Amino acid sequence: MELRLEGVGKRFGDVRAVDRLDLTVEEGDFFTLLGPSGCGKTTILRIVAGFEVPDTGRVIFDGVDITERSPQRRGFGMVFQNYALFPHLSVFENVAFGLRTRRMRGEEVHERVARALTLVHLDRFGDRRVQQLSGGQQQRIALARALAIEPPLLLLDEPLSNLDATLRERTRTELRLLLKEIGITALFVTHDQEEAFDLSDRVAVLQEGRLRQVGTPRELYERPADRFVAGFVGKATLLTGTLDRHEDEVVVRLDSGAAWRVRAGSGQATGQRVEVVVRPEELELHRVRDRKTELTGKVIDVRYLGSFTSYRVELAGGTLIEVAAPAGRADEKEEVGLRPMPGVRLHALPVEEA
Amino acid sequence: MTDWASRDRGLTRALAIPVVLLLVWLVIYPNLIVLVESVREGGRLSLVHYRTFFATRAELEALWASVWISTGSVVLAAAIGVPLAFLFFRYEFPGRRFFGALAALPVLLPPLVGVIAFLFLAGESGILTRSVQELLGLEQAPWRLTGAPAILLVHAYTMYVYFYLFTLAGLTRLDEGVLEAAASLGAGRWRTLRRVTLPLLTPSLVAAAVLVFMTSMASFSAPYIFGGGFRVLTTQIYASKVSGSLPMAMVETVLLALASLLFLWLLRRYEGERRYAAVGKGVQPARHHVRSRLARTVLGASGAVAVFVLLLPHLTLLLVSFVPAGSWTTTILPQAYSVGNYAGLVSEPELLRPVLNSLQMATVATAANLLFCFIAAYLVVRRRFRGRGLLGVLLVLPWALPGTVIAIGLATTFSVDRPATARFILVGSFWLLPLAYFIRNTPLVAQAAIASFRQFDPALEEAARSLGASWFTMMRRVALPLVLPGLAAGGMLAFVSALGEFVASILLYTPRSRPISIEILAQLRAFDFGAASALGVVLAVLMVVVFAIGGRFLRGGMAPQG
Repeated sequence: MELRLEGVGKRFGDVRAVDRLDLTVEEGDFFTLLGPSGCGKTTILRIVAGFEVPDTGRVIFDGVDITERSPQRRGFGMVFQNYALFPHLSVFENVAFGLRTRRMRGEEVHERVARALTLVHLDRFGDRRVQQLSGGQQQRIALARALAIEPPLLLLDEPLSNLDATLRERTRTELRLLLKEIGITALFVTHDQEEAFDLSDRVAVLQEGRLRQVGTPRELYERPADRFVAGFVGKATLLTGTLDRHEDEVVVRLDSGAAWRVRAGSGQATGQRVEVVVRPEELELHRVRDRKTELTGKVIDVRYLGSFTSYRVELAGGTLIEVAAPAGRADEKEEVGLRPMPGVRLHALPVEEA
Repeated sequence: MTDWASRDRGLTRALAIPVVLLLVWLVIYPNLIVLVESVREGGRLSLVHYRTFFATRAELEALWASVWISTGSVVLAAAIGVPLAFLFFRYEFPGRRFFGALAALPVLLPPLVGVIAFLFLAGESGILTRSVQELLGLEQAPWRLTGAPAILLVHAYTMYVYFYLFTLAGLTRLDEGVLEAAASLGAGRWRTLRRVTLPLLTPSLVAAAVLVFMTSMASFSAPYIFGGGFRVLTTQIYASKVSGSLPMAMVETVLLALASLLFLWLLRRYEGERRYAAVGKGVQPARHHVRSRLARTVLGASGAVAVFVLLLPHLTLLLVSFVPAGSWTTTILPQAYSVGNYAGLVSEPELLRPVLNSLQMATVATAANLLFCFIAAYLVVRRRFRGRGLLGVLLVLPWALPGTVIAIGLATTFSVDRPATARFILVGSFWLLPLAYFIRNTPLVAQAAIASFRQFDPALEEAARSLGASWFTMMRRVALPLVLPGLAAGGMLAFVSALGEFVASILLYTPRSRPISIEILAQLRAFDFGAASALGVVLAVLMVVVFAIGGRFLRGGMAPQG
């Protein structure tokens, strides 16, 4: 029961919301569409839900083309950004809504609603009115309502974005445990990278209607496919240099002179211009400077953040770079040297045309 | 393979086409027929009727009377409504809230009821007239409530509410910071009022002025009861129709419709052009707590007196409704009181018949309004289709058209049996009055339904669909329960105004389907003031009760006209 999008495209007037997209969500996967606002992720979700019909391409579920099937006949559960709970119905009737449209009656409805409410730990809230619930509880009722119909696919449209920060994190953890437990296939939309990483088996990064990269969170973070992904998924600084070999290792000779080890990538040749993706936690920061192995720069800002301290360093060429290191490594306005942590192999991207 | 998108578009079309067609048939088509009839003579196109109209002194006088009466009504209504709004808005004094709410009451009363209330107060044998006569020891009544002055007086008395409410709304939106800024820049009270407050209130005042103008152009009850030989367009149309000079009635109807539409267009254009959005957050203006005890008493008393004077006709009506027939002859105030008139509404078949008629016709019309406007409002708010703008216009158009125009259109269109051109004989049948009520109340109910649908979160519709509900199930189980409060409030108001409808009824009723308003008129003619008042009070009370229950769902609702 996998979901496949084949060449799906959708325009709204002059705006190309989704541009010939191919995507496969495997059974049991928690799959996330991640991207900034306006990247088309919500449109894709709505196409899967059936609220939009794509201009081109096909939506295939369980081997059947459902591109033009109406939402009510798809049977996918959906959790809306604002939950869309029916304000005139009790919690029980909200959860029972999808069962009643399926002509289910009596005991069976009670049983299934009770099961769904137990799943979200709100089994004693059936008689409440939805307005009496907190935001987090409403979110869980919306989830229970979508799960009660036992959908083969669960769609989640930024379901955590209306919660405040602390509640969001707790709800996220609960959501992850719950969905793991029932092992449902889920398609999730968010603009929050941390949320995507926390919840997902696989993530698709989107920009302006195009798919930039699909992979596990680790793949995206450690081997971003391009500058956009590198910058959107976590913090990164890009440093240009030329690929070279040194004692059986692939290195990049940075334009400033230092040579740093990078991971060997396919199709990369000596002499190729590349950009090195540098994450804050991949660097060490020293007061002693060695121009052969290190970048040099001046600390312009130090922020103590508890588990680490963030140093902002202005490199000789004016590039700003962020380094996460233990506290007390350097003071503001101090000249420092930077180099990769021991054993770290950095990720290099071919230079993109401007 | 079913194509869901095109089926959904098909649904939109299946709903929109009948809805638009029905409105075109009932709102546009009759007026076109009237227009065509007005330029036809002996089966040929001819402007002879227009030539006759513009060559006849009485016709031109009626047209001119409509215009100047309306202009005069605007001036007088503003002179009462605007100061009253300032008084209740700017100053805090005992009883402010109560009297402030009371001052808005006359807008809720059926126009005919307001007019007869006036008759009992200041008519030839009215309470006020007799008091003055007695006081001055006069041989006969000091004045006769007739002609243009009487019409103007009644208009000012009932239509000031538009200025009152609009000014109040404008003042509420006003940012106190702007006034403080003017003061800090050295502007005195008068200068601030003239240079800041009034310019900022202009949009509200213009809107009120156009509304009063349109309402008095369409006004029928006051000119009909008090006009005597003095005719305005609406009463001229009635006279032409009754005397059988139909071509002239057509010409008059066309001109009245054009004048009304012109003002609707002006209002829309003005509203579109001129919108003073408040910059920044704005501070609620503070009410002046009047410190001096004397000033506070004077303000409170003058507020109370003003409201009392404005409500005097209605209080009179209430009083007269308890007076047994024939017991009030020469004294200033009636001497005997009983609830006999109210009991008579139920026990006397002559009186009960029109009540039952009106109940029946209003029920039919309102039921149709509810169903039709529920669908139409859903289409306007939730669906995108060609002709959506047209539908929006068709839904407000009957509000701009005077009841007389609508009635003449229906009477002309549905007096021949030509099914091929969608014309059937309804004149003389039960159905014509409910149809007229349906058309006249469509804007009211549609507006309430549209406002409710705008509150209706589109995600709820999608949630229901994703849970397996068909469109019909979604409408029944999710949309209807959620828009019901607003829809029902609009429906109740429509029901009550259909109960008291007079302007279209007088042109369309048949003896068998006599509505309440016609019966009030008949009782008046028979000098049975008590029964007429009792009917009027029942209508007025119903209206107030309905508005008290449903008012909060009807923000910006339109008052009945006539």
